[in-house]
Amino acid sequence: MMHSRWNSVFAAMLLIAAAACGGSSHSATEPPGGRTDDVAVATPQGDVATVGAGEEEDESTADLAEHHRHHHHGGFAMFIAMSLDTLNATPEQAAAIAKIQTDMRAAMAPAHDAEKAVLLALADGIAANKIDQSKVAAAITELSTAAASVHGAVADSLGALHATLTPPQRAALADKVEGHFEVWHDTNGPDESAARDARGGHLGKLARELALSPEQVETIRASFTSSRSRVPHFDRAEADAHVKAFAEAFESDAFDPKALSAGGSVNAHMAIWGITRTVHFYEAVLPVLTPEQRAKLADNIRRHANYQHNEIPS
Amino acid sequence: MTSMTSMSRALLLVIAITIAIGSSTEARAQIVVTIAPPAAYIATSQPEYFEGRPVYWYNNSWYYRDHGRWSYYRREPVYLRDRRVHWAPQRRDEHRGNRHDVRRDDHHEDRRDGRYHYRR
Repeated sequence: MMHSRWNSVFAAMLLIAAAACGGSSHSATEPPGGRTDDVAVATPQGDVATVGAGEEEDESTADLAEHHRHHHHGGFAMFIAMSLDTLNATPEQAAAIAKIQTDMRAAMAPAHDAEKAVLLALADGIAANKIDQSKVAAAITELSTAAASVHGAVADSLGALHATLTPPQRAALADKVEGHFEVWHDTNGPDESAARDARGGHLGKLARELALSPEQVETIRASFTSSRSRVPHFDRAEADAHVKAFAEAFESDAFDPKALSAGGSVNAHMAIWGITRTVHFYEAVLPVLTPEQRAKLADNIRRHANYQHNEIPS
Repeated sequence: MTSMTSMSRALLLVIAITIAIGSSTEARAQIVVTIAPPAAYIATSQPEYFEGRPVYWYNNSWYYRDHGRWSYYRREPVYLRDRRVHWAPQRRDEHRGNRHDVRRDDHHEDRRDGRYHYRR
């Protein structure tokens, strides 16, 4: 009798224990309908407060942030052209994609040259310890006009690209364009707070490059922060809508780039916001630099200005 | 009677440990948070293509986006595991504490891992 009661209790307890153990093998977060049965949902990066669109930096992502800090002229067309290098295209697609990329870069050349003029004017001003504001402003106006024309200039290339890629590759391109935009937006945010210094912020990077003292860093930070009211507002919602519209259109079977009517204005707004932020940042930096630091910074900006879409050395 | 008491205590101890182990496994399972690949990683990494969509190898799992949400395969599909065999098992700096397998790049010597590098 006693044995029987103990056996029942023991069996019940084991059942409870087994349920406790077994219950952990699958969560309720599995997406329905997957053809591979063992999948789970990941927490979005947006919930992680770090720099670089939720980045821990490795060499490649740091390089990307550095590019997006200084180059805004092509807007989304630039993001598309850059994405073509990492689509994992087939050898049969390689020639067509290379031609599309070359054509896109040619279409962006006027905007590239206009941005180069801004950066060179900045570099010259930093070297001379006096930025020529009228020269910079005129170059920014040129950039605005050129950037607005990029979307129309790459329309044929985008059509050819859509015809070249498979549907999964089109989805990958949409992923990448969104990724580039997230990085660009984060890198060019209005904030250069101390929290960003060690994690991808421009000021932290510059402090390391130029060996800025803590006093120099804080003076620059205060000056840049006070200049924010003079920087035109960037409409993130407009850009997000364009990202979504591009993804939906490009992933569909029929794609008409000219139907993305906001493309020109979004690109222009990105270019203006980005370069204006860059100018204001360096204007905040300049007054505190030593002659040696100025020379080094001017040289650094000239190298950014003279880059020729040469991520892949020829 | 004494032996029964001892046996009962032993049984209770075994049951308690069993439940504790089971419960702690559950607790561990609940606190595992898998973070989706960063935007910069997606922008700069080459995907593979599987089940009609791009998938990205990140932190030792394959991730894909489905209706805007990032998901991952808890068990690596055989096809994707076979694809990784073709990659160079090149040692790199650890990324979030895990080693990456990175691609061999046959076309551009300077692009060691097939990912983006800014040259100026």
